[in-house]
Amino acid sequence: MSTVALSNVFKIYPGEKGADITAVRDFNIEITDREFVVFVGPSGCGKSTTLRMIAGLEEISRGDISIGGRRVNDVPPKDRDIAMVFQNYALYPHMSVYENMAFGLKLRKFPKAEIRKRVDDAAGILGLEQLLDRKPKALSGGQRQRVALARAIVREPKCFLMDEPLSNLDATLRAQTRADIVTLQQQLGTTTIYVTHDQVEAMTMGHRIAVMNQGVLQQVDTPSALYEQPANAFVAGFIGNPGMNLLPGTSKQGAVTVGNQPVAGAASSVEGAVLVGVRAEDLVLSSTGVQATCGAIEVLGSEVHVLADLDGGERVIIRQAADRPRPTLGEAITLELTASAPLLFDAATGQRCDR
Amino acid sequence: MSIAEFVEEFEGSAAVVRPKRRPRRFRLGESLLGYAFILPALIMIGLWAIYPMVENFFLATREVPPSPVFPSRSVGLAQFTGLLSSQTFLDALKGTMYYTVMVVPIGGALGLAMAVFAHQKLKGVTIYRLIFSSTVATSAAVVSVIFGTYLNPATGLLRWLGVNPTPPLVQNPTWAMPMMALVGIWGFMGAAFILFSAGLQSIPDDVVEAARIDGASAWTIFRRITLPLLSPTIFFCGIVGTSTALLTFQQMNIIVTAGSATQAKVNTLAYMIFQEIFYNNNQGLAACYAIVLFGIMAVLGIIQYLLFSRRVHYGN
Amino acid sequence: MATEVLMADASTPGAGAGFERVPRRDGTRRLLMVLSYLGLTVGALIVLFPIYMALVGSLVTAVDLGNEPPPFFPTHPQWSNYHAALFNDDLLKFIGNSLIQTTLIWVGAMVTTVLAAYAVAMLRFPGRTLLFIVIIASLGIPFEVTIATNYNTVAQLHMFNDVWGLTVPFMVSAVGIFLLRNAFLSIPKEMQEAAVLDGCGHVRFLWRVAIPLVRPQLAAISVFIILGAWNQYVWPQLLTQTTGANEQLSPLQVGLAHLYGGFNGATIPLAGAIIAIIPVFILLALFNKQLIRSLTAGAVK
Repeated sequence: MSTVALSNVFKIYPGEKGADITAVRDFNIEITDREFVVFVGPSGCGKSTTLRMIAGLEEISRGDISIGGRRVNDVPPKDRDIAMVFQNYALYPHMSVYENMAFGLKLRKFPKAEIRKRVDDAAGILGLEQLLDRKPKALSGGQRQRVALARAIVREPKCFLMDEPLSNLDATLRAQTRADIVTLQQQLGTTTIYVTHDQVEAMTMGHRIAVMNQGVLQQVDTPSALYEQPANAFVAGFIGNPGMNLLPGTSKQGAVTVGNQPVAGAASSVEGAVLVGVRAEDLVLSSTGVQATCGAIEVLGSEVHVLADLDGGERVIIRQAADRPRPTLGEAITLELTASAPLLFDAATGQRCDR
Repeated sequence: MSIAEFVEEFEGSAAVVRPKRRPRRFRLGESLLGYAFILPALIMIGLWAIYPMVENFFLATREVPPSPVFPSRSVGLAQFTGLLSSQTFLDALKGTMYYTVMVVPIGGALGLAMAVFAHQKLKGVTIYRLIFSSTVATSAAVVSVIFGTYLNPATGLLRWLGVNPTPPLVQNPTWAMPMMALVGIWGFMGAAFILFSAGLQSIPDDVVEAARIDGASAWTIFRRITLPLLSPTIFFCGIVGTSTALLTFQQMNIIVTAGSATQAKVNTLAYMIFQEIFYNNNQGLAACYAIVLFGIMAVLGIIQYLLFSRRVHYGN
Repeated sequence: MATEVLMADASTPGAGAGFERVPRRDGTRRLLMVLSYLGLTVGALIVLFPIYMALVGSLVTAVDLGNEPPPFFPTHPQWSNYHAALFNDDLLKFIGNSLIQTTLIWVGAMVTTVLAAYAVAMLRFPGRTLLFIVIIASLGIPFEVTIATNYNTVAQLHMFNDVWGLTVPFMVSAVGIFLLRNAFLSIPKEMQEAAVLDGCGHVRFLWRVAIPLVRPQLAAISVFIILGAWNQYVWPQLLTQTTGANEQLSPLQVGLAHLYGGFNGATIPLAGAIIAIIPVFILLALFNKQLIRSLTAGAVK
């Protein structure tokens, strides 16, 4: 059983004069065997720190981490039975591809034949057979990335930890490698924790996604659940491309208005300021609705994003088909909400407040 | 409300956890390993550099007899003040200054000129660079033997010019020290060349190109762009050269016959340290010379520091 | 490149008017090139002339060297001076001494320097910064001002009459520690972490990963130490000439100085000088880059 569980994990860096910096706050997650979980969030949100605590590269300030049912807080990294893939791969430049892959096994005193077999197997899986004698310097970026993966695979660990492993690749290669990693993980069935700041990567790769912000875990769920039912305004705005529009509205006795226009189907559990969450495809240009000004137009081929500025200055995005009539820049437009049940968030706490 | 604003507010409202400050801890094993690793180097530096430097101040106040059989006795500052007013000391100080003032500017200028010429994309320039830097690798003994031989009458090169001075230049009280400086200049050129080459490489190309587009001539560019931008290197080179020059006495020791009248004309402070130990067995006096020499170098070091911290402002 | 400064547009003052490259007139360019080569060659002559003359002197007989005018070219080169220097005057033995002493200094200095540099760069322990400052500050103490006490220390440690007295005081390099520390610090943090996950402790990381990664800097420090050890004169002169017994331990430089100071004419010492230069020049030709790196380390910090 290669589960990974974090309970009430904190990472606190001592700051100047007692002003400690809490990088990770009260983090809880249960990752089941064979699961692929992605930690996603903006830079500095604590996702890498969390991963490094699991790896043992950072001390755990509070709470417990267990891997395969064993508490590992005080277990040194090499004994945690995990393997890590780094953003810049961290290949040893003075060793050949073969030596890079074999190094960890050698240090663990594996018999030579076993090392040979494992390296050959991993090289086969990742198509590195022809490159085993090369030095990292003589490899392309994509090949280096595969060596880094292979180095993790040969260890046959309980868990893979990947820290933005694709961010040094160009866009085309990234998309392809994304799919390769997913396939590989399915093949091997190794529990995987994958850190990225790219929500597209998160959505396409993870069984479940853990969204983090400011050191706090916001929501853990499947990609579609996150997209459809974000727990708070941050997740709503972060997940999806573009993220969910958050229109400022007012709730009075449960009825919600945006710019004096009643929002159909919206029922709030709080009174006062709320945010009305609407996906870009659920906004249309219409003759009635919320007043706005066309601020910019982005043509993406099959579809067009109209960036509209509300009277309060907020910018919202309307996604429409390319053949629809487009407003001109600066034109006054009117937006209609077509969602049957728009999401509502408490403006003060950001939490969901629709009934 | 934008996401950023929201996040800010959200963060503010959340319960802020403020645990007790955790002091940065050292790991015992790592610390022990650290001490174990640094210890050999520290012992060497302590034993062969720091302790003898401190011991100098003690020795300087003692009269140490030539034979260790007899105990040394304290003479306070008498030995030191006596030294400062002695003619030998003043001559050695003068010799040191003369040597330094000759070698550093001339050797440095030659090194700079070679560096400027070699800093071009020309065929075969690598060979020239190798030749220019070769003087740093040539030992004092080798240089002394070569120059000593060719500045002698029977074997001398001046015979090419039909001149055969007697006594030979290196044994002539007037000419001996300039000849020592000549040896020093030859030796220092290579070091200066290497330092200036590195300095020239650190000057960004675009600055020079900008000046060229502005229509500056080659000389103007050298005078107004290259030289000012090279000033840190000029300074560093000066310091390196000065500290080397202040400590020089090898060629004096090898070329000039010990005990001769000429030798008194080529004394330097470093040579006096050596002589007091080697010939006179007077460690107390050697320590006094060492302290003076160290003092001069320390003062120059402080000047270096002050000038360096000033140039940072207009440097980059 | 800044190099082109000298060959720049003296002939084309109009170049400032626009960004297009104004081709220089061929004649001017050629003239500048000739001037550059002239400068380079004059410089090379200044540097090489003494060495060339030593070579000439070492290849002629003492009688020929005394001719008027002196020989400028060895018309009948012969090796008797080299033979005499190497065998009659024991230079061969001194070369052996130098090789042994240089090797000992190099090995000893590399061990202490690598360990100390690793400690100050990679290990955390109380007082680390202070100790590093002490090491760097020791650079300000030239060896020449410490010889009086070091002379006594060597005697007290009973190293006076053996090779240790000549080598042990040089078995550390503060410059090397400074240079290597920076090299160790430039190893990517992720590389260390990957090694930790692979199961490396500090000792193994140093040996298997860090040392191979800083090989260029190790080479630079090695050349620096070896050149210094091979060329040093003051300390061995002091130690091997005050007592007769130690003369057997004289390194090449001291032997050469005595060859010159003795009654050996002029040609044999010149042969000795050429012999002493050869290994150094080979080292320089092979490791010029590394030497320059170590010599300029202080300038670019």
